[in-house]
Amino acid sequence: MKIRPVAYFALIVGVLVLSSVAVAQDEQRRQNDPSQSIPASRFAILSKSLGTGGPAPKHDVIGVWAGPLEAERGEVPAMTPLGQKLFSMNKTEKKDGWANSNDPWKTCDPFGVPRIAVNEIRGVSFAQMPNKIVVLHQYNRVWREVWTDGRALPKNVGMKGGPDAKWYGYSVGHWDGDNTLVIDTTGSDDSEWLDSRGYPHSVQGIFEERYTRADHNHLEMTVTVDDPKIYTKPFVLGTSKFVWVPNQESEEQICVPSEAISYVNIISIPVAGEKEKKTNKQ
Amino acid sequence: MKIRPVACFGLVVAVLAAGVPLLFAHHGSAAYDMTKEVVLKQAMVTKVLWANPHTLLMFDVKDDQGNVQHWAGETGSLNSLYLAGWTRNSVAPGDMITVYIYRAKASAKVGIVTKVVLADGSALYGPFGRQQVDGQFVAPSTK
Repeated sequence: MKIRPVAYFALIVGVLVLSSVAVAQDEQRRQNDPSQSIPASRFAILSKSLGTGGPAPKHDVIGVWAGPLEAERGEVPAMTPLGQKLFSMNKTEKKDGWANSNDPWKTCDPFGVPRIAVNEIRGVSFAQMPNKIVVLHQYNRVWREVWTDGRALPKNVGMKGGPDAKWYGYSVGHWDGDNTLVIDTTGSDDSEWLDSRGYPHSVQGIFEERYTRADHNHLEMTVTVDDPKIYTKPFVLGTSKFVWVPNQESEEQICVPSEAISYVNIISIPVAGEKEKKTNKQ
Repeated sequence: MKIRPVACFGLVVAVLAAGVPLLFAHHGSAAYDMTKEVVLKQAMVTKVLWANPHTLLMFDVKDDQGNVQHWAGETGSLNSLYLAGWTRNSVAPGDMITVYIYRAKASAKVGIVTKVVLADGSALYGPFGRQQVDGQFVAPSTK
């Protein structure tokens, strides 16, 4: 029997229709059954329920915003020889397991900039103070000063004659158009990583965060890295969306060093099959 | 143009594959046997560490010979647990519960808690170890 192309096309359409029905039914089942589906974050819940809320107000991102667990990561370009050397020393959870990782997160070290903007981003807030905007990161209740009085970023941070590096560096901000807040940061302590993938950065790296308020209820972020000591060209480290939190309440989300050590001892080390390597007596 | 059956089949597979949502775990879970859920009945809770990064349940279970075995299971971050209906007092030391757990591939008695059934028959679910699909932690497929 000879089957014509049109018959194959009909078969394809039929398969697609049936599969889409099955996917829809499966999605409904997941949403109704807690054994199948749990919201990953407030962002996931609010994203589905919030409309635009009207147009974005001009030069205003003030308030509490909910984000997903992590930013979408960008592609990292080739590293310089120094960057490659530093990267090779970093043991990530993905590559080495949490028990053997040397991720500073393991002991709740400060994320610094830009990691605080892309790693654990379930909540971020902005507040206005004289001459500055304060960014309040929900994770570990970190706050950063972003000067909007026109001052320039300090130069030669961490070098002779320059200011010292700080965990959260030095930040300045300005508006690009009506709805995009641009924050530039430098002088961020280089003992932190860019993110959990273990990519390093230098103290002299400049990190740009762009927060564009698309409408009243939606904010979009892009984080760019310009660090020629470590990377051969600038690149987008991460992007994310945030939604307005109607009740304006933040969650508490603290990385507690003693809890993190307990987690490693009770779970990570036995999981890795290295029970004898306890780092802290219980 | 003549379209061969194998080409049509390839097209169907490609289109279906493109529609599969991106799956990834919150933290690495490769060290656990995610294909087999172990059920531990009559587990007595000895300690609850309501903590980040993941809340830990420690409990004792008797084996077939009556020997007490000490277990530890991780559930999820506090924020995730709240969204899944847990509170700090949901499970307490002394409670007798049934624990559903994905055990570590290493022989240690640790694992990812997927479900806890309390004495009153109500159930709580663990978000960790699930795949994240469209903002939801979804139970991994065991197929």
